[in-house]
Amino acid sequence: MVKQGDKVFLPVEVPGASYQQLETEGIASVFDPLGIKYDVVDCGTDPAGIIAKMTDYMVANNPPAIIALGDSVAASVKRVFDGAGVPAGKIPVVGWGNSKETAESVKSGFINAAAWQFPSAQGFMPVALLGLAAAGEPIGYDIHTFSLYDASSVEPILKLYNK
Amino acid sequence: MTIAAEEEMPRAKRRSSLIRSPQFSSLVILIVLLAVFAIADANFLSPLNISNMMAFLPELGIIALGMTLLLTAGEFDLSVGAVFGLAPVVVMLLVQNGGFDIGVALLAGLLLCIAIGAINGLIVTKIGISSFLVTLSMLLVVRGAALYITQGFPLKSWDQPGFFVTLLAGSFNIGTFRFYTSLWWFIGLSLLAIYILRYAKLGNWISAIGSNRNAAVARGVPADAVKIWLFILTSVLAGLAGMISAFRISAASPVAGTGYELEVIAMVVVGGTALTGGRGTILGTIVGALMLRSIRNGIVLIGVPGLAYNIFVGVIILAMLILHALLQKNAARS
Repeated sequence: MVKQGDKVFLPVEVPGASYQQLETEGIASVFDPLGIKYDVVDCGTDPAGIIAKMTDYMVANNPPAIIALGDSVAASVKRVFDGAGVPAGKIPVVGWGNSKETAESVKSGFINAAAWQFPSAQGFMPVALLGLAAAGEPIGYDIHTFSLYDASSVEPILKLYNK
Repeated sequence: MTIAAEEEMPRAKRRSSLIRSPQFSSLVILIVLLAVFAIADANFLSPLNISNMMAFLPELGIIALGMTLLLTAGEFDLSVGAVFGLAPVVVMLLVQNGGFDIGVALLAGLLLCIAIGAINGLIVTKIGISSFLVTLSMLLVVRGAALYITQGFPLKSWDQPGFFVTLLAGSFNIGTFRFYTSLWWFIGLSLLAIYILRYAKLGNWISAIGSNRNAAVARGVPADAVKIWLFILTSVLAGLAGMISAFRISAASPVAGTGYELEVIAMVVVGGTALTGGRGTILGTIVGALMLRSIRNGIVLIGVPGLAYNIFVGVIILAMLILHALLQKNAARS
């Protein structure tokens, strides 16, 4: 999908935030040895501004792939592709997926895969386990806080958003 | 011979005053800027890129029109970005949670903007606090209110086809260019603002208040009333732009419009309106809006690294302001 010398587009709404730093570190650990470049782009938090900046970047650079480092930028991918005249599936896109718009984009093929953080369960699961621990009961399992979904596994997430 | 010479005089005078006008310097700078970006990247003048630039520009431009009139009268409004975010959020909450008709909800959103503008205007004029401080406080109140009532969640905006969507955010094609109806709003409101500032008595009042408020009051200008209405107008235009934007992108976010106040003031001042009041130009503001949008778009196209955009935007705006001041000085000398 991407090869040596390509420059992958990494849009982010809050540059410098810990999630951006850690994700970029992870991406660098894979891309640097392969000679693949990447461009972290500050898109801001304003939704219309995000779409404008990402579209400008697409028109200017025609990137070979996108890794959306945050939920707001991932949620804007479909509108950006519409604005830049890029059809769904033309370039690979992955990113954060904790929004209805991103889940819909995964279903319609604009995004290949998105990261799901089980946001509806992450709040109460640790509290439940702590409650068990406080009651003296053993805790014998971990809480999964991350998984990837694609078009074949997006339906439960869309159902959750459409409740 | 004498008649011809007499006809030549006013024409020469008009030409000289046009060259000396602040918007002329801004226009010259804009043309240079467009030429530089067009030479640097052929994509800059492509229909796709121009269509994308013109999708976002009118929304900021509409706010800038109100800000131009307010700055000409010697006042600021730093709450415009927050109002841009709050107005569509309130509209969508009324529709989605309150079951209101979209038309009624839009009207309620505009009434809220009127109230915010009126509060700004009344505090500035009747209590005598600087508009910088009043509207800075209002920015916090309005942004905080938007976050509180949404609990920080963005709202799905109204995306059902219908009269209001077409009116505010419909799109149309001219050849290979795609534009939104926001462009018509921007053009129509610009013409109205040009009329007010250049040809109406109100425009004279606005400039007079900004130049010398006491002298204007002594000559019977209702300075406080004019300022209050200008605050209301600025707030309403910010809310309208927010609604247009929310319909266009199908999302109403409580953080929409963050930082717009400074972007809009930059557009107005780069266009030639005096930050200290007394001199305003709508044509200059249109040029300023085009200039700022072109700079933001152009630096992406010429390949500036993604985290260095703001450095370049800041440096280019500063350079434009210096060039503007030098051109103005030279024009004044000649």
